[in-house]
Amino acid sequence: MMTNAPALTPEEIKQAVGAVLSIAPETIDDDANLAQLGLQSIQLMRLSGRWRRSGLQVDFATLAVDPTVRSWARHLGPERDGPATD
Amino acid sequence: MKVDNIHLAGIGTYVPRTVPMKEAVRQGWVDSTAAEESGITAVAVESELPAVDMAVIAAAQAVERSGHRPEDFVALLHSGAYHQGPEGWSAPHYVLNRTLSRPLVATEVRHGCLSVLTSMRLAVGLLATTPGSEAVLITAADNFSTPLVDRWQDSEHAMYADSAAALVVSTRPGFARLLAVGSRSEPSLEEMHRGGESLLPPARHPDRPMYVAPRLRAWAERPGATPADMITAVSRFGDLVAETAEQTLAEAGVGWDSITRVAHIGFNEDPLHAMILDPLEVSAKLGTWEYLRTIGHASVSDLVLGLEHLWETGQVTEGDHVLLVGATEGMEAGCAVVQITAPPPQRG
Repeated sequence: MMTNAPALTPEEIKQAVGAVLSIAPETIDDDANLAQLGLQSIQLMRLSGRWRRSGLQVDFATLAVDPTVRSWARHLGPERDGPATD
Repeated sequence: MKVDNIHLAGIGTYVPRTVPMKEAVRQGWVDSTAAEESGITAVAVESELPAVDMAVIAAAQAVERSGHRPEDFVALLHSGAYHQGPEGWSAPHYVLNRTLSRPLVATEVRHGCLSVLTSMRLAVGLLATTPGSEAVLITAADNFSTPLVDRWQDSEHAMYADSAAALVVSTRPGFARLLAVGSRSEPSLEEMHRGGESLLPPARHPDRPMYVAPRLRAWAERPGATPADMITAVSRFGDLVAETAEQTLAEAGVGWDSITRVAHIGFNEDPLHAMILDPLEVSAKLGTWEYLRTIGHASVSDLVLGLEHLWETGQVTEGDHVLLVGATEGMEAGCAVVQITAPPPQRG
C-alpha cells in the first residue's frame, strides 16, 4: 500500500465521531473510551463503512478492539499499521 | 461436518415484486438517512400469497429440476423466521400436501436465518440412516406483510424481505455436491435477543409490532452492562463466523483460494461488512451483495437466492466452490461448502 492512499488525522476522526455523537469534537479526549461517550455498535459499523468506502483499510473489529481516537489514528493515519491481527 | 455422496439436486425460489427504497422513503415507511445508509435499493414485498404458498411454488421448481419422483423422498423440512399462520397448526404439512403429497415426516426447523443450512445438515443424517431413501425436500419462506412487523425499521441491521426458497438434497448427482456443513454457537449471547422480555407468561405483544432493535438496546442497557457490551458482542460474533468458516472449509478439504464466491445473508451494507464479510476477509464483490441489496434481507432464503443467482447467471460454473454463510440469534453461525457440478440451466 503506497502513500497515495487516504488517511485521517486525529482531528478528522474527532469530527466524524463528534458528528455521530452530537458532541463538540474538541471535547473528545484522545484516550477517551468512545463507547463510554455513547458510541453505539451500529454507529461504529457506519463509521467503519464510511471510512472503508473512502478507501481506507479498516474494519469494525480493528476499531472495536480499542475504541479511542489515539488507537484509531494509528490505524487510519498516514503512518498506519493496517488492520489489527491477533 | 464433512459430507460424502450428498448432492443438491434441485433448487427453487420465489421472489415477489420489489418496492424501491425511494418509494418507501416517499411513503414515510423509512427515513431517508436510514434508507441511504442501508445501501439497500429495494425490498421484496408479497401482499397476497402467504408464506406457505410461496414455499409451495419454490418447492415445485426444485422438485422438477431435481428429476426425483415423490416416492424418492424421506422427509420435508420447512422453515420460517416468523409466524406463518395460527398456533397449533402445521405449516410443513400444508406444504407437503401441496407438493409431494406423500405420508412423510414433515417438520419445522426453527433456526432463524440459519434454518436452511441446518435443514441441509439434518437431511444428510436422514438420508444416511434411512435405507432406500434418496431425497429430502427443504422449504423455507416468510411473509412479513402484517401490521405486527415493521419490515423497514424493526432492525438496525436489515430490512425484511418476503421470499421463499427450496432445495432437494439427494444421494443422486444434481447441480452441486455438498462437501461440508456445520455451525458453531456462542450461547452466552442468547440474552441479547431476549432483551428483558418475559419468559413466563411467554412474551407476546398483539398490540404492537415486533421490534427487535429495542430488545437489543434493553440488553445493552441491562443492570451491570458496560457501554461497550454490544460492540464486544458484535466482535465476538465476527470471531464465531470466522471460526465456523475455517472449520467448515477444513472439513470440506477446500482452501480459501478455491472458493469462487460466497453466498451470505442479506444484511444492510455496514452490518454485512462488520458481522460477516470483514471477519471472513471477503470483499463484497466476492459475495452476493450486489444482488441481495435489490431484495433486502430474505430471512430464511438469502443463501439459496444467492446460490441460485450465482449459478443461473453463470457467475459460478462446474468445478467452482461456493461458501454459504448464515447466522441466527443465540448466537450461532453456520457454513456450507458446495461444488457446482452442472452448467446453468438453459433459459427457455
